[in-house]
Amino acid sequence: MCLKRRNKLVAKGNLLYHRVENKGANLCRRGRRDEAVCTGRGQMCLPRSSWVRAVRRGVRPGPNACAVLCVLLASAAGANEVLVSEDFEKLDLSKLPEGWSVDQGGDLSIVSDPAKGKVLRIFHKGNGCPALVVKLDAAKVRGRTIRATVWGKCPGAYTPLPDQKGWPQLLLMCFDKAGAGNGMIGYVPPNTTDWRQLSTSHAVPADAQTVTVSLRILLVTADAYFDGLQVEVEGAPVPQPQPASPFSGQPAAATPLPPTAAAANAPTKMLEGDGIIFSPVIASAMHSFRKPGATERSFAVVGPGAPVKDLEGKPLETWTRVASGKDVTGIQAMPEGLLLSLPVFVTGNKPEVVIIVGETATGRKLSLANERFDWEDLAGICLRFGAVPVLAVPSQAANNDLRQAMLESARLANCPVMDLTMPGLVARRARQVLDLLEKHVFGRETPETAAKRAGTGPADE
Amino acid sequence: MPLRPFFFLCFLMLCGCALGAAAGDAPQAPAVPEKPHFPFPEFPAILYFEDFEGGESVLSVGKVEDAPAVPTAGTPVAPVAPPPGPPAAGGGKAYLLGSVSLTNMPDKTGSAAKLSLAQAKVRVPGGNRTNQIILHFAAYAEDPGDLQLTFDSKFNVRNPISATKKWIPLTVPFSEMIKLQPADVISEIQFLFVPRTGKAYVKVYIDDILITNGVSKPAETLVLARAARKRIKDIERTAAKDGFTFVPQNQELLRAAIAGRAHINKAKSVLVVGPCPPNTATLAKALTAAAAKAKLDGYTFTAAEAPDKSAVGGLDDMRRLLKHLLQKTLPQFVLLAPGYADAKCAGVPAESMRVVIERALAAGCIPLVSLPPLVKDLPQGDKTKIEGFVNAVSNAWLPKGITLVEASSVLNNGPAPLQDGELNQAGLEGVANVGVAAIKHLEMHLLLIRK
Repeated sequence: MCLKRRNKLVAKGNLLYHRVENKGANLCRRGRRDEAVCTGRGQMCLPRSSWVRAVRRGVRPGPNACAVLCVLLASAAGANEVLVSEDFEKLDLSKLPEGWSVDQGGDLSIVSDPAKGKVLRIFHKGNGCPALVVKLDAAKVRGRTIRATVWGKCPGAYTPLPDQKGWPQLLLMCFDKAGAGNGMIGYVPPNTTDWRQLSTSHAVPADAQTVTVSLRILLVTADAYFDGLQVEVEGAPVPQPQPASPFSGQPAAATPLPPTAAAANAPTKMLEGDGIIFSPVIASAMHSFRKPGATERSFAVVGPGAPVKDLEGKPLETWTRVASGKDVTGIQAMPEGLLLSLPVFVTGNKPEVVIIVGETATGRKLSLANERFDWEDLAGICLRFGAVPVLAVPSQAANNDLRQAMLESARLANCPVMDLTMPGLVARRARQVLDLLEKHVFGRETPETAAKRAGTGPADE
Repeated sequence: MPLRPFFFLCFLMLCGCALGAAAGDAPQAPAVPEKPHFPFPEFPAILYFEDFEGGESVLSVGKVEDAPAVPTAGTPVAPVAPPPGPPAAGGGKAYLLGSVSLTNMPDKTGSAAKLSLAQAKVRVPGGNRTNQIILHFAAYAEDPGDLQLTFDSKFNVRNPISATKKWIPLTVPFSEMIKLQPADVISEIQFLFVPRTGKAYVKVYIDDILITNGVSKPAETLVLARAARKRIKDIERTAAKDGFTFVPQNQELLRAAIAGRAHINKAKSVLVVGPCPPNTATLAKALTAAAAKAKLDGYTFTAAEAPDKSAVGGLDDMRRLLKHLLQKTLPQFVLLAPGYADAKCAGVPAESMRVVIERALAAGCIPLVSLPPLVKDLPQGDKTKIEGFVNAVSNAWLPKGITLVEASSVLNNGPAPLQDGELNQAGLEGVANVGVAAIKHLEMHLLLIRK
């Protein structure tokens, strides 16, 4: 809920801020800018999936992500310009790059984390503000919206000081000529044992002189960890329409958007709420891996969790399901086995989309070191042979460890995700993902849209 | 009334369940004793041997130097002659103890060295009877004094050295330390020489440190240890000198890693995955040509190919397709050659390499990893990244017995071997020559196929 006690709600463009009277800073507690979510009218504020922000906001450096980033930058297909991308793997706090600095450096260290490799640790005993500060090039960001994201956790307890903004936090600040500053904060709550992504965005005023992004602990006694700091400028120009994709195998529909522009216009869908993960970044990435030859509107369901009852039969009328053999479904299709059989299956059947379903049973002992690599590679195999992978993750209650591993893999492979929570909705979610892929990755009109445009289809969904 | 015993039984069962559950909550696995480390598996009586001939050691404070010349009786030594052969200690190198100030004798300067048994992975007594464990070594001092040995700052053994400028064999049975228990593990031995007269630092050397278990004739054991060390040195290969690495002591680990499935793989077959898809076939051809030149008979080098007949290459393809390719081709060896682009990419490519090597080992296949050679033409920024990748892979996999092909030394003398950011034909031929030499060496010393 919005804090109104000492803050004043102010509007600026489509953003709503809480002006802190005593500090003069504009702060939105949830860092949400799109849609009027933070209305302060007592409406329910749903917690945003931290994962989705990662997917939505961009690309974490990785083998695939790097390629994706290059493609995105090259095509300027609605991609944001990345200003800072730091995974702390090679950062030396004693030899920081230009524009980077530390305050109270004694409290900062680079440590190893089993899940994320090298991460930044800030261990603070209170009453100070140890920070890693990154100064951005103000000329680049003036008058534009910048977004900062970082993964954070704070496994121990601490006592937050909300009135004084006392949290382990990600801070985005802009200062004008007179030194007056305003900015946004994303903070790590106490007892956050799992990594969660903090994200905050801010419209940089045209007269901003200094713009900084900081990872810090303010005032409180806490032990916080950060990884994957990324800062990007939003609002890159919309790409010019290009000729229709040559690989669709059929003449393009009358007025579909060209694939790159279509990808840039893709909506952002979140796991919590929508049950799927999709974004312009994902659409662009999937589009860049497309290859000719796949059978149009065909999909396959593979993986240890397959077959999925709701996807059997013909629930997705306009899409054809490719028959999946025993070697790609069920117990033989555990990631280790599927790595053997999936390349042959995909090249042999040429599905356009492959839904890889994680098992809901918890019998298998997950390999902590390799699980995410296995799932990422399964998605990679599909991309390698021109099929779009969709990872279907088991529910938190059924198999949370696998769910987290698959989500991490999907983040690295930058592919769509579908939630298997609430089995009754699985077919609907599959339909939704396929429709999004059809429109924003394959650059085709969905049959419903075409029929509606022709005046013969059903009314709005 | 008959229900009473039934309830009592139920109560007992519930107690049992509760105890079982409690035990299950916090499993207390017994500590697994660490496996003993033998420098020469064929001689389990030798627990540690160091003759300093390699130039590096686990000793500290002093330094490895040429052993002092010891004049042979009756033979005059020319004033400018080089040190005559191996001295009494048996090698050309010895360890010179470093200078230390003595807190309890401020007027004297001692000579000291520390031997870290923990670093050398030696566990003594480590369950053995203390009267069976003996430390042998040779000492050389320029002035008389006392050589004191301290074991873990607890046990002291004093050895007076009266004969100067001579190598003196010394023996220290562990049973001299009365309070030392068989279950104890000594982690450090300190050597401290205190001169009997004079204040200045005295040069003291030690050499041929040998710790044995149950050996009655240490002189013979010393000969055996030297011979074993020489054998290891003979078959050891280093990247700087030979272009590939082979560490004989670690080969047992590699054999154990592939033991489960190695028998199903086809002998003398090598799967080749190049730095990028177009280079894989070129590398396979270069390997075939190099094998013919090196008389490596009967080997087939297969370029990796995806199920859709497209070429395979680079680290991404290795991760995605290696498992499938290994199952399809069942090779005895797989040559994995990540490219410069892989080494430079963001993220942690060494971690991807780990996944790939582990998958090869799980398939019973011997991986040969060809690291991107650090050639002269690389820009400095790239060089740093590539060096980081090479070091990370080397540090992780050399101790596990994986052979690394590093053709930098071979390629540095040739023309610029790059094209489109990856190795060109000449570069790949250089890698192929070294790769074939590595396979030939592995055939003789890992697979033990003698010709």
